[in-house]
Amino acid sequence: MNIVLLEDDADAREAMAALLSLDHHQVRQAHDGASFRNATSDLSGQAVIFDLCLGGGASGLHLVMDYQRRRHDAGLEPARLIALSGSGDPARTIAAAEPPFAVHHSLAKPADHARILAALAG
Amino acid sequence: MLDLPPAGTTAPPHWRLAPLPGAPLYQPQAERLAPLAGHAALAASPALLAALALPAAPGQLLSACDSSGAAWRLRRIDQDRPLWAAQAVDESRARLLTALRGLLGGRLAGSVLHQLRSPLNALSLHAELIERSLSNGERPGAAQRALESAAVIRERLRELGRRQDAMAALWFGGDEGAGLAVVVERSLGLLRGYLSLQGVHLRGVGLDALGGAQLPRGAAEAELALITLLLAACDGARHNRVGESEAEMLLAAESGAHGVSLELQAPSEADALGRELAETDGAGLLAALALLLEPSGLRLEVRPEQALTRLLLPPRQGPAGLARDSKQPRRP
Repeated sequence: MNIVLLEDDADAREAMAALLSLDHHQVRQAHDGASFRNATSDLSGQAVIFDLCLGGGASGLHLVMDYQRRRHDAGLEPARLIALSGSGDPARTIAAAEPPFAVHHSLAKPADHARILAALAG
Repeated sequence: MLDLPPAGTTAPPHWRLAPLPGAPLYQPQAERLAPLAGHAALAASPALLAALALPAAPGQLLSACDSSGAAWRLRRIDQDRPLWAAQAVDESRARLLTALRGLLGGRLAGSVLHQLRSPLNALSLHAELIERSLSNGERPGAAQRALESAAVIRERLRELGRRQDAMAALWFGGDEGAGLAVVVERSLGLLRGYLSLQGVHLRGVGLDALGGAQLPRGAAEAELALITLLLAACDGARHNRVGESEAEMLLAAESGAHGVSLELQAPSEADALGRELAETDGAGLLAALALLLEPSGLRLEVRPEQALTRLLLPPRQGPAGLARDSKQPRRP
């Protein structure tokens, strides 16, 4: 699966990317808005694993909402979305999003790799 | 026995506005201050009792000293009756410090949790990567990858230890002194995650100028006060941001003949924090912070019209509390 990984913690991002690669996924990494837009410019990411709160107050959720819009406009299926959060209650953050927005899975950090794989699978 | 302070001494101006948390109410009677309810009477000198019996407006402050020389504050509560709230300054400071710790603990809980969860996430993933690498030991590069992950884990554990030390120093710190630069660094370390989550950028300018400036005492109090000022500035910066632009605060240090100053440039919204701290307003909060900063020798200056708050550490620090006023004649 083509996966885009949006996470501002470089240690966590690189370890997760390495683990996903060992599981035969293709991973593109991004750490902020500019690198995310670059990593998703060809709209090939079938899944996005993203941190809800990036450094400097940037919102991972807003970047992913924009990505889903771009895929929709291009006639593509929505990407599978997996939110990660250090705040402990990612579902509440997502539920408060305006406009309402669907995320397939939301996991609190630290998230086991097995749970991330399960979230990618369904 | 409570008595009027020695002639020629004056109370700092912030004593008038700083809250008296939980201070008992008293009425002057013959040879003593009688409590309104539930507290022991206070012996008082005739001069103090006479001063307290004079007409006074609510909010008027009288300072006093007890037999050990410790400073007290008495604040008129009622227009018609000579009813006064009285509290030793040290007790006010201790109570405000406890309240401030609670307030900051509540405010920062989310970001502290976030700051712990992020390194835990990295640790968990790298531990898993080591397991996978070792189970693939025959493949090229597996051992090297495991070693790299072990190095990351070691560094992130050190980072967690540093954060834990900073939090412990803040929440359980005693009356120790510390370098002003260390106080600022620890405050920013604790607040960085909070500011990031709030979408506020803090720019530090010339913080090297803090150099070796030392606080003789009260480093933990100074740290709590600085964090409170930064929180109020963060709220102000957020509310005053223009459109979608990033909110910014500036923290600039300067060293010169006047001493060392630390200038926080951002609109401050202190009213909400004041109400959370001790049912006071922004002015009461700033007065409470000035009271807390006395032992460290730091003075607090606020210029709301310029969105500027300044902490000033003069080159030579006098004793905290009542200060000798050179303009007033000494009483024999």
